[in-house]
Amino acid sequence: MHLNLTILVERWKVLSLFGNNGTLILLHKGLNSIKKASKYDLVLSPQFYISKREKLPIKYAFQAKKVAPSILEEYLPSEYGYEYIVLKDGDSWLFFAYSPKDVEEFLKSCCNINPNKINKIYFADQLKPILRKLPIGIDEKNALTLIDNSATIVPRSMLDSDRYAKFTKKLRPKQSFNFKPSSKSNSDNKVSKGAVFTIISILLLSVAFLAEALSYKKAIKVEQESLDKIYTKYPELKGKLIRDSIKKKYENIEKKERAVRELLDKLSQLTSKKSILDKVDIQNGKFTAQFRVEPKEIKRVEAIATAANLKVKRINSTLLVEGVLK
Amino acid sequence: MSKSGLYIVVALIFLIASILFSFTQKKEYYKSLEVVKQERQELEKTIALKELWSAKGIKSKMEKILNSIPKAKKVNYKYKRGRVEFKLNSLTDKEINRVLSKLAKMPIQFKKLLITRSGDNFILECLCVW
Repeated sequence: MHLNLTILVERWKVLSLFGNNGTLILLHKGLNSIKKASKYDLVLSPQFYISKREKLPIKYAFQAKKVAPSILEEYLPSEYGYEYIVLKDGDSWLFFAYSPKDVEEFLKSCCNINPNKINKIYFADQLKPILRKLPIGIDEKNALTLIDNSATIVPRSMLDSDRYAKFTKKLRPKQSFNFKPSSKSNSDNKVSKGAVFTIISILLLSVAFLAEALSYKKAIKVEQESLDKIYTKYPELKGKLIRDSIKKKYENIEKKERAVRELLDKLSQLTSKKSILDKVDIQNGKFTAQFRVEPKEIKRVEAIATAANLKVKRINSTLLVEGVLK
Repeated sequence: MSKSGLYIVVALIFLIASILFSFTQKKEYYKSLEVVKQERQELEKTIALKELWSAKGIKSKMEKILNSIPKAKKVNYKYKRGRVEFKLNSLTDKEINRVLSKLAKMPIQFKKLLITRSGDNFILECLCVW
Protein backbone atom coordinates (compact mmCIF):
# COMPACT_ATOMS: atom_id res chain seq x y z
CA MET A 1 0.00 0.00 0.00
CA HIS A 2 2.79 2.35 1.05
CA LEU A 3 4.74 1.40 -2.10
CA ASN A 4 1.71 2.13 -4.31
CA LEU A 5 1.33 5.51 -2.67
CA THR A 6 5.00 6.31 -3.23
CA ILE A 7 4.65 5.36 -6.91
CA LEU A 8 1.58 7.57 -7.21
CA VAL A 9 3.39 10.50 -5.59
CA GLU A 10 6.35 10.03 -7.97
CA ARG A 11 3.99 9.83 -10.96
CA TRP A 12 2.28 12.99 -9.82
CA LYS A 13 5.69 14.69 -9.56
CA VAL A 14 6.60 13.55 -13.07
CA LEU A 15 3.24 14.70 -14.43
CA SER A 16 3.58 18.04 -12.70
CA LEU A 17 7.02 18.34 -14.28
CA PHE A 18 5.49 17.76 -17.71
CA GLY A 19 2.71 20.16 -16.81
CA ASN A 20 5.42 22.64 -15.93
CA ASN A 21 3.48 24.08 -12.96
CA GLY A 22 5.12 26.40 -10.46
CA THR A 23 4.16 27.24 -6.90
CA LEU A 24 0.76 28.97 -6.96
CA ILE A 25 0.70 32.43 -5.31
CA LEU A 26 -2.15 34.89 -4.92
CA LEU A 27 -0.44 38.18 -5.68
CA HIS A 28 -1.79 41.12 -3.71
CA LYS A 29 -0.18 44.28 -2.36
CA GLY A 30 -0.24 43.00 1.24
CA LEU A 31 2.10 40.12 0.36
CA ASN A 32 5.44 40.31 2.13
CA SER A 33 7.04 36.87 1.89
CA ILE A 34 6.84 33.77 -0.27
CA LYS A 35 8.21 30.26 0.17
CA LYS A 36 11.26 29.65 -2.00
CA ALA A 37 10.58 27.82 -5.25
CA SER A 38 12.15 27.47 -8.65
CA LYS A 39 9.07 28.83 -10.47
CA TYR A 40 5.95 30.71 -9.49
CA ASP A 41 2.46 30.77 -10.99
CA LEU A 42 0.66 33.98 -10.01
CA VAL A 43 -3.03 34.58 -9.52
CA LEU A 44 -3.13 38.36 -9.96
CA SER A 45 -5.44 40.15 -7.56
CA PRO A 46 -7.48 43.06 -9.03
CA GLN A 47 -4.78 45.38 -7.64
CA PHE A 48 -2.60 44.31 -10.55
CA TYR A 49 -5.00 44.36 -13.46
CA ILE A 50 -7.98 46.06 -14.99
CA SER A 51 -10.84 44.12 -16.50
CA LYS A 52 -13.92 44.91 -18.50
CA ARG A 53 -16.82 42.82 -19.73
CA GLU A 54 -18.17 43.62 -23.20
CA LYS A 55 -20.69 42.03 -25.47
CA LEU A 56 -19.18 42.19 -28.91
CA PRO A 57 -20.06 40.55 -32.22
CA ILE A 58 -16.60 38.87 -32.30
CA LYS A 59 -16.08 35.21 -32.86
CA TYR A 60 -12.39 34.60 -32.27
CA ALA A 61 -10.01 35.46 -29.39
CA PHE A 62 -7.34 36.93 -31.70
CA GLN A 63 -9.96 39.42 -32.99
CA ALA A 64 -10.96 40.30 -29.39
CA LYS A 65 -7.27 40.76 -28.50
CA LYS A 66 -6.90 43.25 -31.36
CA VAL A 67 -9.67 45.46 -30.01
CA ALA A 68 -8.66 45.07 -26.33
CA PRO A 69 -6.41 48.20 -26.19
CA SER A 70 -9.21 50.43 -27.54
CA ILE A 71 -11.77 48.97 -25.08
CA LEU A 72 -9.54 49.42 -22.02
CA GLU A 73 -7.97 52.65 -23.25
CA GLU A 74 -9.93 55.00 -21.00
CA TYR A 75 -8.79 53.16 -17.82
CA LEU A 76 -5.09 52.98 -18.57
CA PRO A 77 -2.33 55.59 -18.54
CA SER A 78 -0.99 55.83 -22.07
CA GLU A 79 2.73 55.74 -21.24
CA TYR A 80 2.52 52.30 -19.59
CA GLY A 81 3.35 49.04 -21.34
CA TYR A 82 0.31 46.78 -20.84
CA GLU A 83 -0.30 43.22 -21.82
CA TYR A 84 -3.83 42.34 -22.95
CA ILE A 85 -5.59 39.06 -22.42
CA VAL A 86 -9.09 38.10 -23.50
CA LEU A 87 -11.38 35.37 -22.22
CA LYS A 88 -14.74 34.23 -23.55
CA ASP A 89 -17.33 34.20 -20.76
CA GLY A 90 -20.74 33.06 -21.96
CA ASP A 91 -21.93 35.40 -24.69
CA SER A 92 -19.60 38.25 -23.67
CA TRP A 93 -15.83 38.82 -23.69
CA LEU A 94 -13.69 39.53 -20.63
CA PHE A 95 -10.83 41.91 -21.35
CA PHE A 96 -7.84 42.02 -18.99
CA ALA A 97 -4.89 44.39 -19.00
CA TYR A 98 -1.93 44.05 -16.65
CA SER A 99 1.43 45.70 -16.41
CA PRO A 100 4.24 43.13 -16.37
CA LYS A 101 6.59 45.83 -15.10
CA ASP A 102 4.38 46.45 -12.02
CA VAL A 103 4.22 42.75 -11.27
CA GLU A 104 7.99 42.34 -11.67
CA GLU A 105 8.81 45.37 -9.53
CA PHE A 106 6.41 44.35 -6.77
CA LEU A 107 7.74 40.79 -6.61
CA LYS A 108 11.31 42.06 -6.50
CA SER A 109 10.58 44.59 -3.74
CA CYS A 110 8.39 42.39 -1.55
CA CYS A 111 9.98 38.99 -1.92
CA ASN A 112 13.23 39.44 -3.90
CA ILE A 113 11.99 37.26 -6.71
CA ASN A 114 13.51 37.69 -10.14
CA PRO A 115 11.17 38.04 -13.13
CA ASN A 116 12.62 34.92 -14.80
CA LYS A 117 11.00 32.86 -12.02
CA ILE A 118 7.49 33.87 -13.06
CA ASN A 119 5.93 31.07 -15.03
CA LYS A 120 2.18 31.44 -15.63
CA ILE A 121 -0.38 33.94 -14.58
CA TYR A 122 -4.10 33.80 -13.77
CA PHE A 123 -6.59 36.51 -12.90
CA ALA A 124 -8.63 36.64 -9.69
CA ASP A 125 -11.76 36.88 -11.85
CA GLN A 126 -11.09 33.29 -12.88
CA LEU A 127 -11.80 32.29 -9.25
CA LYS A 128 -15.49 33.29 -9.61
CA PRO A 129 -16.87 29.73 -9.15
CA ILE A 130 -15.32 29.70 -5.65
CA LEU A 131 -15.96 33.37 -4.88
CA ARG A 132 -19.68 32.89 -5.58
CA LYS A 133 -19.78 30.41 -2.67
CA LEU A 134 -17.23 31.92 -0.24
CA PRO A 135 -14.88 34.88 -0.12
CA ILE A 136 -11.17 33.97 -0.09
CA GLY A 137 -9.21 35.32 2.84
CA ILE A 138 -5.97 36.86 1.64
CA ASP A 139 -4.67 38.12 5.03
CA GLU A 140 -6.08 38.85 8.48
CA LYS A 141 -7.83 42.06 7.42
CA ASN A 142 -8.72 41.61 3.76
CA ALA A 143 -10.56 39.14 1.62
CA LEU A 144 -11.24 38.57 -2.04
CA THR A 145 -14.88 38.57 -2.99
CA LEU A 146 -17.28 39.27 -5.83
CA ILE A 147 -18.83 42.71 -6.19
CA ASP A 148 -21.00 43.32 -9.27
CA ASN A 149 -19.72 40.04 -10.65
CA SER A 150 -16.10 41.29 -10.48
CA ALA A 151 -13.39 40.01 -8.14
CA THR A 152 -12.55 42.74 -5.61
CA ILE A 153 -10.39 43.02 -2.47
CA VAL A 154 -12.38 44.38 0.47
CA PRO A 155 -11.79 44.60 4.26
CA ARG A 156 -13.19 41.58 6.06
CA SER A 157 -15.15 43.94 8.30
CA MET A 158 -17.31 44.91 5.33
CA LEU A 159 -18.34 41.30 4.71
CA ASP A 160 -21.07 39.44 6.55
CA SER A 161 -19.42 36.06 6.05
CA ASP A 162 -17.87 34.22 9.00
CA ARG A 163 -16.23 31.63 6.81
CA TYR A 164 -13.44 32.26 4.34
CA ALA A 165 -11.93 29.91 1.81
CA LYS A 166 -8.21 29.33 2.16
CA PHE A 167 -6.16 29.99 -0.97
CA THR A 168 -4.45 26.71 -1.90
CA LYS A 169 -3.13 25.08 -5.04
CA LYS A 170 -6.47 23.28 -5.40
CA LEU A 171 -7.96 26.63 -6.42
CA ARG A 172 -5.78 26.81 -9.56
CA PRO A 173 -8.02 28.05 -12.43
CA LYS A 174 -8.25 25.88 -15.53
CA GLN A 175 -6.94 28.35 -18.06
CA SER A 176 -3.48 29.83 -17.60
CA PHE A 177 -1.62 32.57 -19.46
CA ASN A 178 2.05 32.95 -20.13
CA PHE A 179 3.65 35.83 -18.31
CA LYS A 180 5.31 38.25 -20.73
CA PRO A 181 8.26 39.95 -19.08
CA SER A 182 8.40 43.74 -19.42
CA SER A 183 11.70 43.51 -21.23
CA LYS A 184 14.72 41.30 -21.11
CA SER A 185 14.95 40.93 -17.38
CA ASN A 186 18.06 41.91 -15.52
CA SER A 187 18.80 38.42 -14.41
CA ASP A 188 18.71 37.27 -17.99
CA ASN A 189 21.05 40.02 -18.99
CA LYS A 190 23.39 39.38 -16.11
CA VAL A 191 25.85 36.58 -16.56
CA SER A 192 26.16 34.65 -13.31
CA LYS A 193 29.51 33.98 -11.65
CA GLY A 194 29.16 30.26 -12.27
CA ALA A 195 28.47 30.89 -15.95
CA VAL A 196 31.49 33.22 -16.17
CA PHE A 197 33.67 30.52 -14.59
CA THR A 198 32.29 27.89 -17.01
CA ILE A 199 32.77 30.18 -20.01
CA ILE A 200 36.33 31.05 -18.98
CA SER A 201 37.13 27.35 -18.43
CA ILE A 202 35.74 26.43 -21.84
CA LEU A 203 37.60 29.30 -23.50
CA LEU A 204 40.86 28.34 -21.78
CA LEU A 205 40.42 24.77 -22.95
CA SER A 206 39.70 26.04 -26.46
CA VAL A 207 42.82 28.21 -26.36
CA ALA A 208 44.85 25.17 -25.26
CA PHE A 209 43.52 23.16 -28.21
CA LEU A 210 44.17 26.08 -30.56
CA ALA A 211 47.72 26.43 -29.23
CA GLU A 212 48.23 22.72 -29.75
CA ALA A 213 46.89 22.97 -33.31
CA LEU A 214 49.13 25.94 -34.06
CA SER A 215 52.16 24.13 -32.66
CA TYR A 216 51.44 21.24 -35.05
CA LYS A 217 51.11 23.72 -37.90
CA LYS A 218 54.45 25.27 -36.95
CA ALA A 219 56.06 21.84 -36.69
CA ILE A 220 54.90 21.01 -40.24
CA LYS A 221 56.51 24.26 -41.41
CA VAL A 222 59.78 23.45 -39.62
CA GLU A 223 59.92 20.00 -41.23
CA GLN A 224 59.25 21.47 -44.65
CA GLU A 225 61.90 24.15 -44.11
CA SER A 226 64.52 21.58 -43.20
CA LEU A 227 63.76 19.80 -46.47
CA ASP A 228 63.87 23.08 -48.40
CA LYS A 229 67.36 23.76 -46.99
CA ILE A 230 68.60 20.52 -48.52
CA TYR A 231 66.99 21.41 -51.85
CA THR A 232 68.63 24.84 -51.79
CA LYS A 233 72.00 23.11 -51.46
CA TYR A 234 71.19 20.50 -54.13
CA PRO A 235 68.75 22.19 -56.54
CA GLU A 236 69.29 19.45 -59.15
CA LEU A 237 67.54 16.99 -56.81
CA LYS A 238 64.33 19.01 -56.58
CA GLY A 239 62.53 17.22 -59.43
CA LYS A 240 61.42 13.73 -58.45
CA LEU A 241 62.13 12.21 -61.88
CA ILE A 242 65.67 13.61 -61.97
CA ARG A 243 66.22 12.61 -58.36
CA ASP A 244 65.06 9.07 -59.03
CA SER A 245 67.24 8.83 -62.12
CA ILE A 246 70.34 10.05 -60.23
CA LYS A 247 69.57 7.69 -57.36
CA LYS A 248 69.15 4.74 -59.69
CA LYS A 249 72.40 5.52 -61.50
CA TYR A 250 74.47 5.64 -58.31
CA GLU A 251 72.67 2.67 -56.75
CA ASN A 252 73.67 0.55 -59.77
CA ILE A 253 77.28 1.70 -59.52
CA GLU A 254 77.28 1.04 -55.76
CA LYS A 255 75.85 -2.45 -56.23
CA LYS A 256 78.28 -3.43 -58.98
CA GLU A 257 81.39 -2.04 -57.32
CA ARG A 258 80.49 -3.50 -53.96
CA ALA A 259 80.25 -6.90 -55.70
CA VAL A 260 83.75 -6.42 -57.23
CA ARG A 261 85.26 -5.57 -53.87
CA GLU A 262 83.49 -8.47 -52.13
CA LEU A 263 84.75 -10.83 -54.85
CA LEU A 264 88.35 -9.64 -54.37
CA ASP A 265 87.95 -10.24 -50.65
CA LYS A 266 86.57 -13.76 -51.19
CA LEU A 267 89.34 -14.63 -53.68
CA SER A 268 91.97 -13.46 -51.20
CA GLN A 269 90.52 -15.95 -48.67
CA LEU A 270 91.16 -18.78 -51.15
CA THR A 271 94.87 -17.97 -51.59
CA SER A 272 97.57 -19.51 -49.44
CA LYS A 273 101.00 -21.10 -49.86
CA LYS A 274 99.31 -24.29 -50.97
CA SER A 275 96.68 -22.53 -53.11
CA ILE A 276 98.32 -20.15 -55.56
CA LEU A 277 96.43 -17.62 -57.64
CA ASP A 278 97.27 -17.87 -61.31
CA LYS A 279 94.81 -15.51 -62.92
CA VAL A 280 91.86 -13.20 -62.17
CA ASP A 281 89.82 -11.60 -64.90
CA ILE A 282 86.94 -9.22 -64.10
CA GLN A 283 85.26 -7.62 -67.12
CA ASN A 284 81.78 -6.76 -68.33
CA GLY A 285 80.08 -8.00 -65.19
CA LYS A 286 81.68 -11.46 -65.37
CA PHE A 287 84.65 -12.94 -63.60
CA THR A 288 86.98 -15.93 -63.74
CA ALA A 289 89.76 -16.86 -61.34
CA GLN A 290 92.22 -19.72 -61.59
CA PHE A 291 94.03 -21.34 -58.64
CA ARG A 292 96.76 -23.95 -58.56
CA VAL A 293 96.08 -26.03 -55.45
CA GLU A 294 98.00 -28.87 -53.84
CA PRO A 295 95.92 -32.09 -54.04
CA LYS A 296 95.57 -32.36 -50.21
CA GLU A 297 94.19 -28.80 -50.04
CA ILE A 298 91.69 -29.02 -52.89
CA LYS A 299 88.70 -30.08 -50.74
CA ARG A 300 89.35 -27.44 -48.13
CA VAL A 301 89.67 -24.64 -50.73
CA GLU A 302 86.60 -25.95 -52.55
CA ALA A 303 84.64 -25.87 -49.28
CA ILE A 304 85.70 -22.27 -48.59
CA ALA A 305 84.71 -21.24 -52.14
CA THR A 306 81.32 -22.97 -51.90
CA ALA A 307 80.67 -21.35 -48.52
CA ALA A 308 81.41 -17.97 -50.14
CA ASN A 309 78.79 -18.72 -52.85
CA LEU A 310 81.38 -19.14 -55.59
CA LYS A 311 80.92 -21.58 -58.42
CA VAL A 312 83.98 -23.90 -58.57
CA LYS A 313 85.23 -26.26 -61.26
CA ARG A 314 88.09 -28.67 -60.66
CA ILE A 315 90.46 -29.63 -63.50
CA ASN A 316 93.21 -31.89 -62.07
CA SER A 317 94.96 -29.71 -59.52
CA THR A 318 93.51 -26.51 -60.88
CA LEU A 319 90.43 -24.85 -59.44
CA LEU A 320 88.46 -22.60 -61.73
CA VAL A 321 86.13 -20.06 -60.09
CA GLU A 322 83.74 -18.23 -62.37
CA GLY A 323 80.48 -16.37 -62.28
CA VAL A 324 78.54 -13.20 -62.83
CA LEU A 325 78.81 -10.14 -60.60
CA LYS A 326 75.50 -9.55 -58.80
CA MET B 1 17.61 31.34 -23.72
CA SER B 2 19.39 33.49 -21.11
CA LYS B 3 22.50 35.44 -21.94
CA SER B 4 24.64 33.06 -19.84
CA GLY B 5 23.27 30.07 -21.70
CA LEU B 6 23.94 31.74 -25.01
CA TYR B 7 27.52 32.58 -24.07
CA ILE B 8 28.10 29.02 -22.86
CA VAL B 9 26.73 27.60 -26.12
CA VAL B 10 28.96 29.95 -28.15
CA ALA B 11 31.98 28.99 -26.01
CA LEU B 12 31.14 25.31 -26.48
CA ILE B 13 30.91 25.75 -30.26
CA PHE B 14 34.29 27.49 -30.12
CA LEU B 15 35.69 24.61 -28.06
CA ILE B 16 34.37 22.00 -30.52
CA ALA B 17 35.82 23.98 -33.43
CA SER B 18 39.19 24.20 -31.63
CA ILE B 19 39.20 20.46 -30.92
CA LEU B 20 38.38 19.68 -34.56
CA PHE B 21 41.03 22.12 -35.79
CA SER B 22 43.61 20.63 -33.43
CA PHE B 23 42.66 17.09 -34.45
CA THR B 24 42.95 17.98 -38.17
CA GLN B 25 46.30 19.68 -37.67
CA LYS B 26 47.62 16.73 -35.69
CA LYS B 27 46.54 14.31 -38.40
CA GLU B 28 48.05 16.52 -41.09
CA TYR B 29 51.28 16.85 -39.11
CA TYR B 30 51.79 13.10 -38.81
CA LYS B 31 50.87 12.61 -42.46
CA SER B 32 53.24 15.36 -43.54
CA LEU B 33 55.95 14.10 -41.17
CA GLU B 34 55.79 10.67 -42.76
CA VAL B 35 56.08 12.16 -46.28
CA VAL B 36 58.91 14.52 -45.30
CA LYS B 37 60.76 11.75 -43.45
CA GLN B 38 60.57 9.43 -46.43
CA GLU B 39 61.58 12.18 -48.85
CA ARG B 40 64.51 13.22 -46.65
CA GLN B 41 65.75 9.65 -46.26
CA GLU B 42 65.62 9.19 -50.02
CA LEU B 43 67.32 12.53 -50.56
CA GLU B 44 70.07 11.86 -48.03
CA LYS B 45 70.74 8.46 -49.57
CA THR B 46 70.94 9.97 -53.06
CA ILE B 47 73.23 12.75 -51.84
CA ALA B 48 75.48 10.27 -49.99
CA LEU B 49 75.74 8.02 -53.06
CA LYS B 50 76.34 10.99 -55.34
CA GLU B 51 79.04 12.44 -53.11
CA LEU B 52 80.70 9.06 -52.76
CA TRP B 53 80.79 8.10 -56.42
CA SER B 54 81.54 11.52 -57.84
CA ALA B 55 84.20 12.53 -55.32
CA LYS B 56 86.90 14.91 -56.43
CA GLY B 57 90.69 14.48 -56.28
CA ILE B 58 90.63 10.85 -57.50
CA LYS B 59 93.23 11.51 -60.17
CA SER B 60 95.86 12.73 -57.74
CA LYS B 61 95.18 9.85 -55.35
CA MET B 62 95.46 7.42 -58.25
CA GLU B 63 98.79 8.92 -59.35
CA LYS B 64 100.07 8.69 -55.80
CA ILE B 65 99.31 4.96 -55.71
CA LEU B 66 100.91 4.35 -59.10
CA ASN B 67 103.92 6.50 -58.23
CA SER B 68 104.66 4.19 -55.31
CA ILE B 69 105.49 1.50 -57.92
CA PRO B 70 108.95 1.67 -59.50
CA LYS B 71 108.85 3.30 -62.96
CA ALA B 72 110.38 0.25 -64.62
CA LYS B 73 107.34 -1.82 -63.68
CA LYS B 74 104.84 0.70 -64.97
CA VAL B 75 103.89 0.56 -68.63
CA ASN B 76 101.00 1.75 -70.78
CA TYR B 77 99.63 4.50 -68.45
CA LYS B 78 96.82 6.48 -70.05
CA TYR B 79 94.66 9.13 -68.43
CA LYS B 80 91.65 10.81 -70.04
CA ARG B 81 88.98 12.78 -68.07
CA GLY B 82 87.98 10.50 -65.24
CA ARG B 83 89.39 7.39 -66.84
CA VAL B 84 92.72 5.65 -66.21
CA GLU B 85 94.14 2.64 -67.97
CA PHE B 86 97.43 1.15 -66.82
CA LYS B 87 99.51 -2.00 -66.81
CA LEU B 88 101.94 -2.91 -64.02
CA ASN B 89 104.52 -5.62 -64.62
CA SER B 90 106.50 -7.82 -62.26
CA LEU B 91 104.59 -6.91 -59.11
CA THR B 92 105.54 -8.83 -55.98
CA ASP B 93 102.88 -10.31 -53.66
CA LYS B 94 103.18 -7.35 -51.33
CA GLU B 95 103.02 -4.77 -54.11
CA ILE B 96 99.94 -6.22 -55.80
CA ASN B 97 98.18 -6.56 -52.44
CA ARG B 98 98.99 -2.95 -51.52
CA VAL B 99 97.88 -1.57 -54.91
CA LEU B 100 94.67 -3.59 -54.99
CA SER B 101 93.65 -2.77 -51.42
CA LYS B 102 94.25 0.94 -52.02
CA LEU B 103 92.34 0.91 -55.30
CA ALA B 104 89.45 -0.98 -53.68
CA LYS B 105 89.12 1.70 -51.01
CA MET B 106 88.71 4.42 -53.65
CA PRO B 107 85.32 5.34 -55.19
CA ILE B 108 86.26 4.16 -58.67
CA GLN B 109 84.59 1.73 -61.03
CA PHE B 110 86.60 -1.23 -62.31
CA LYS B 111 85.77 -1.63 -65.99
CA LYS B 112 88.54 -4.15 -66.40
CA LEU B 113 90.72 -5.92 -63.83
CA LEU B 114 93.13 -8.58 -65.05
CA ILE B 115 95.72 -10.21 -62.78
CA THR B 116 98.04 -12.74 -64.33
CA ARG B 117 100.85 -14.69 -62.65
CA SER B 118 104.20 -14.61 -64.35
CA GLY B 119 106.64 -16.79 -62.43
CA ASP B 120 106.70 -15.53 -58.83
CA ASN B 121 105.36 -12.12 -59.82
CA PHE B 122 102.12 -10.68 -61.15
CA ILE B 123 100.97 -8.53 -64.03
CA LEU B 124 98.11 -6.16 -63.23
CA GLU B 125 96.05 -4.62 -66.02
CA CYS B 126 93.33 -2.22 -64.99
CA LEU B 127 90.83 0.21 -66.50
CA CYS B 128 89.13 2.45 -63.94
CA VAL B 129 86.63 5.25 -64.33
CA TRP B 130 85.11 7.72 -61.82
